Amino acid sequence: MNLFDYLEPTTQFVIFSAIKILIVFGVTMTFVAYAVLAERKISAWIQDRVGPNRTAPPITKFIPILGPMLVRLGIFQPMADGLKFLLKEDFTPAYVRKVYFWLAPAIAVIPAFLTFAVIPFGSTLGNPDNKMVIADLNVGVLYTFGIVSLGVYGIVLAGYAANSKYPFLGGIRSSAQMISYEIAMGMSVVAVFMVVGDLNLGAVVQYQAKHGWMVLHQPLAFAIFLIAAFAETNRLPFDLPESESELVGGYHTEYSSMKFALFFLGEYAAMISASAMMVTLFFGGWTLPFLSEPASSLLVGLLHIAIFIAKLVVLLVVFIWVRWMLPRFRYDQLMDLGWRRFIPLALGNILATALVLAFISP
Amino acid sequence: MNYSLLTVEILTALLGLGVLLLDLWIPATSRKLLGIIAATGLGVLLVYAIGSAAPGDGTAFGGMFVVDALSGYAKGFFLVAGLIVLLLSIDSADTIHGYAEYCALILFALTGMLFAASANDFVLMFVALELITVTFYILVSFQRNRLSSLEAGVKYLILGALASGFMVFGIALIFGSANTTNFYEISTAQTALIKSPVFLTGILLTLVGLGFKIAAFPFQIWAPDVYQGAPALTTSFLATGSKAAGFVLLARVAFEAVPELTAARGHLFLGIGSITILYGSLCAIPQRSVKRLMGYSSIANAGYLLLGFGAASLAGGSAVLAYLGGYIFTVLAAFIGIQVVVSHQESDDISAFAGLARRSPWMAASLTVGLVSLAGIPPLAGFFGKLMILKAVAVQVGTSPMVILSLLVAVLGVVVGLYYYLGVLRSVYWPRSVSDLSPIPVSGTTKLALIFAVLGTVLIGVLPETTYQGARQAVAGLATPKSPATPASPPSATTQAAK
Amino acid sequence: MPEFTDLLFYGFAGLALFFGFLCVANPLSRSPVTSAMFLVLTIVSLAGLFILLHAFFLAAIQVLVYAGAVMVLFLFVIMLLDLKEEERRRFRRFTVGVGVVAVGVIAGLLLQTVLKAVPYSQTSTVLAVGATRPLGIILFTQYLLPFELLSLLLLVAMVGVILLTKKELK
Repeated sequence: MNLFDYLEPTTQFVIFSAIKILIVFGVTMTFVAYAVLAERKISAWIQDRVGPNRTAPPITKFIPILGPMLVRLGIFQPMADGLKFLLKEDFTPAYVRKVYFWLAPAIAVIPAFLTFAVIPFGSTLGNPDNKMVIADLNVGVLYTFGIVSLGVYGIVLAGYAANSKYPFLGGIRSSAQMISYEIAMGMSVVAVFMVVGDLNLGAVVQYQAKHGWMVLHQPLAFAIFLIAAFAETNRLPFDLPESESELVGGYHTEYSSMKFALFFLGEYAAMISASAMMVTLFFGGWTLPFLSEPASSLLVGLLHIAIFIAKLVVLLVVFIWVRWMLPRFRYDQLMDLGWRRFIPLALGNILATALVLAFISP
Repeated sequence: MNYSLLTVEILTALLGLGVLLLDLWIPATSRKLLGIIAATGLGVLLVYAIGSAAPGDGTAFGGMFVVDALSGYAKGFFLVAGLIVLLLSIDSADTIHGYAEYCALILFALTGMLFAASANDFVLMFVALELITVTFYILVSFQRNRLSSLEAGVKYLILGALASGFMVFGIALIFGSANTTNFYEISTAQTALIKSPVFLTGILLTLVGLGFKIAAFPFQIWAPDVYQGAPALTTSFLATGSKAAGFVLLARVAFEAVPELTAARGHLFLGIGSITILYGSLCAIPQRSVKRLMGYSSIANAGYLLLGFGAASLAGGSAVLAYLGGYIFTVLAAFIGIQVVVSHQESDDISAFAGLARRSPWMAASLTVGLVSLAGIPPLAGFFGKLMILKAVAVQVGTSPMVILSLLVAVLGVVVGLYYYLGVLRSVYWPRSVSDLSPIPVSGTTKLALIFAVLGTVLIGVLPETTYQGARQAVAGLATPKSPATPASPPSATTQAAK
Repeated sequence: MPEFTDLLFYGFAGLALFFGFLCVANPLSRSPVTSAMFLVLTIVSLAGLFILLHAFFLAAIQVLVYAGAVMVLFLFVIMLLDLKEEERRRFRRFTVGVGVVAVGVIAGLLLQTVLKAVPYSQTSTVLAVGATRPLGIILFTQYLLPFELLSLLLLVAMVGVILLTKKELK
């Protein structure tokens, strides 16, 4: 650290930020990989199967007891999956619109990762100025919504680029769905920020540390946010953009190899970022009721990050669990739910919150 | 803050919301009731507005909203126009798809006009104008099963959006150079401001937006197409309320915010006015569609009104407002006849009006009063308005060669106008060939609207003094300072941000 | 040496102009979808300019509303209409001439304004009006009336859109 202190504050800031970005990116990528594994394992348990239990790199032979156990858990499966995606032939059909065909996967995956920039995943680490958030924006949540709304382009363009029926229908469905639910989602969050009085996500966490988790103050907002998050991430029961039984595979029908993998990555990264948003907004972020002071030592700082990740994992499991428990909605039901149930409910919630804030508690 | 200043505006908006809601409970078979309720409500409001006239001048919302002689004068005419259009619409209640929405939209557009009459700030002016314009995008394309209506709607939408873009850019430049958007505050600093090129460009671009509303050259292209394509009811409101709102705002900008600039650049108004008169009059000659003809006539009349601004004097301003008051009644009188014929014949060709005098004397009378007044024949309102404007301009003879030129153009416009207005009347009274002489039925509500419109046209023509005095007071009132009643105390942004 | 923020300003402004040009007159592609995508990039570049003005709220709303919602709907409509005619249409010389003259006049006017304008003498102090809280306070005090009137405008737009698009109920 001594060498570090000699550097200018700006340089320090740049270096710290770069380290944080790298770590967050790495952790998220690992999470994505293992979220896929969790998905496969949990679905297997729910359907009374075993799930992936064979993949074993040669080294496992040399580890006694633990090796076979890890293999049975499928710990090495994601590596095999990743390798397969990389090594498969990257096929570009002749009739596609090439530029958009190549752009779309990138546009789909980038916004999902960009949203992590404003999420406070811990209090501080070491130095009290060293906040565990990449960009401490005062319009944090608006940034998130802005970036998330750009994510639609990846899917729409993928559907357009493929130049064939099913992907196109998938793309159109997805854009309509995401715009509709973005409104409900945004409105549900308005009530939260009315209570907190600040758009900064760090301030939201601090408020919850003092007054208890937001899910207790705003249960309706949480319910709407959670369900809208399913729709925003195109997960079952709202996975109509890629519903296999109707649209073959939806917007990524024509994709193969790593380009397909990027959509896959994007979907899981979006799921993780939605969970992270929910942890921050409704479940107290990195705090626990008896552990809400910003970290004084390195160890507590790490503990805060661990708490955040633990909460995140619980929500991820909920995402996966719901996928294998509920059947898919029909498209008109989905739109009806979004426009005629959630948006009025969210508006009512804003109104009720405003009245309570104005007349009962300041 | 004195919210009671906004009573009429708020009640009009509430009336619109009420009509929208009532549609839920009123059975489809008695839609007429909605129109009657809306018209009655508006009638009561009109009586209230006139009765409580001169509630004392005042400002609200930190000087943004102002009640003065001009706003009172303009609001009266807007309410009358709205009332007549609503009365006229009752007959079509069963043929208009979505009649409740139609009534509500007319009331919302009217709300926008009322706010425009009181706008004392570029921001409120822009929002009020947008409310009017956006409502008219819908009203114009209301008959969506008719292609020409949709076409007119799209044309109006695209050109309107372009004009709004220019206007908002202009307002940004004004705010950037003057650091305020309030008309009064701008007027106190105008001597310095009108030397700033940024401010001048801002005003110019704002005038582009207003020029579009009033269909002045070179922003008049939309008018004939939209007037022809839109439903006749919408056209009648577009030609009166929407246009008048543009002129009232122009009067506020020209005579309250930057009177020095208006005085210095009066010849610009004269020039644009002259070209507008020429364009409108000459293009009107070959028209066979009466609605299209009214579009060109509307352009020509905008030219006359602009000449009044060119005079840049108290007399000029008062003439503009007096002309505007008479013009609203005149155009409505003409459009009542057009609306009835168009909805009965499903055509607005001049031949559809053949023999109207024998088929429906009521409508023939209404159309005659309207067109004769538009042509500027005494003793109707149109004559008096044109006379006032020409007088105000003629006083300036000698200041600029432009004055004489514009006077010549104005007289030429009147002569050409006689030709094309009377062309329609010839078909009404002395048709060349008549195939159908069955009488056209006219309902009581239409007759009521007709009586209002004709009475207004005749009264203003016969007794011009009252209107002229009102207009004179309105313009004179613009020169008196309007400091905000409650000094605007927006919490300082910096201190708030520091928290 | 110009300051870093100046460089950023020229960068974003240049990008906005460049993308805007490609939006309306792309020499390589006449596809409306490409135009729409360049419009999205223009909007994002403008958001960058807002950030340089410390108007973070406006920047976020710009991306959220225009790039994220309005343009997606545009794209949606363009794709559904499948505008092949537009791609084939060629400009007539007259249209191009009139367009060039119109742009020239407006550009000349603005250029003249900029050249004649006197830079402000006052030192640029950062008023944090772009932040969310002060903006909200101003909207609900000084600009309350236009703000509320806009709600009526939105209602009108909503009523109109539903009316013009819904099927005839018979």
